[in-house]
Amino acid sequence: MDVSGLNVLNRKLEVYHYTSPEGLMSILDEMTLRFSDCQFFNDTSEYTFINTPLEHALKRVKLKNPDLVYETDSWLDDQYEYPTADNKGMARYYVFCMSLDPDSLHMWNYYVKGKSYQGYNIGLSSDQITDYLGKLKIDNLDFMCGPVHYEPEEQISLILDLLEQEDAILSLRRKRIREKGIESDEPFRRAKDNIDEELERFRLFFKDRAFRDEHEFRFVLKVPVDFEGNDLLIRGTSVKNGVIAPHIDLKIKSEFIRSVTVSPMMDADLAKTGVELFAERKGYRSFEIKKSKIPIRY
Amino acid sequence: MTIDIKADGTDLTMTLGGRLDTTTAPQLEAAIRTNIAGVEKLVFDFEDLDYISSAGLRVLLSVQKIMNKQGEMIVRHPNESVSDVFEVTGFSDILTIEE
Repeated sequence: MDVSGLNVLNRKLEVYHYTSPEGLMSILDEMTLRFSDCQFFNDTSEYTFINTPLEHALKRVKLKNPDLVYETDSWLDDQYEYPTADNKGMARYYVFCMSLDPDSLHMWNYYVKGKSYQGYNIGLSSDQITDYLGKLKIDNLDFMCGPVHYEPEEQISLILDLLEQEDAILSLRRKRIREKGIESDEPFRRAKDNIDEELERFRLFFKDRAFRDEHEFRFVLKVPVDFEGNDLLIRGTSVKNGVIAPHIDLKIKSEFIRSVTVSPMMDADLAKTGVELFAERKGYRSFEIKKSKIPIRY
Repeated sequence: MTIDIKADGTDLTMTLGGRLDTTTAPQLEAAIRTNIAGVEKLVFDFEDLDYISSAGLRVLLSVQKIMNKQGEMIVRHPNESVSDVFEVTGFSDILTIEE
């Protein structure tokens, strides 16, 4: 495992949610971020994409405890309801997608109507939202965040790290047990549980390399199925491509919003003025409103 | 993962619970970025930390480098699971650990 040379504390503090004009108005109006149920992603194969790097990793890995690899059938499970850590119930994953790129032509291209760009992005403080979500003390609610991994070698490497770490620990624990003259499958079960849990988490942050220009960053909530919601996390449903899809709206604070950027468009000045007037009417004071710097040629 | 933070002058204690891995390490990084300035003694209490992965170890290593310059860092009460990870990765030789 290489743990040198990575200054993980120097990551960017701002992340960008690309959206339609209606989406922007809704966020500013309601001061909420909408987390989508992972079973209802636009690309329904996304949740099972991990099978590809997992199969490669399993072919490559050399473990001292090969019985770990024989359990692969259950690792390739694609259930959308997942047991909570304490086994008191089941949970579902809700995802809010952003980009690390503040002005991405790739992302603006999702918001083309006719021949014109009609998108906006909202710059959000990742640290403030992370801190806020981390303080939500709700039983069995779990929170994850981070960049999406696109490169196959990086995905395989993360899986190999996991397998090798659990393999080394399993060897250590089996040795201790042998020395005590005890027979127990507990070390194996613990290793398998950790691998199951971590793969389940990885799958929410792995995507095909074809999407690498999105530079996606995600917030993920693991929410017990019996959680009814509260003032900050509001359960709801919406229609998405004709399908009734569950979502969770997270109430945020106005200071989390750092900027709004207008996509490259014919009337960018007018669009910027529109956002300024809307923000002023809604009482926002603190965020910057910018125009995309991408020179679009027609 | 849960992070409870207590500051006392230049001492800072972070009590972690749950899993510290690729998907929660950014949460710890954010907490460190927000709170590390001026800290001379940083204590991580791992009593309720169930699991740590290589991504979690990377954060610890980065924080250790910072604290080597501005003070000291102590890891307290790691449970058996976390202690085993420290042992097999050699981190038990790098970190100051108090049982």
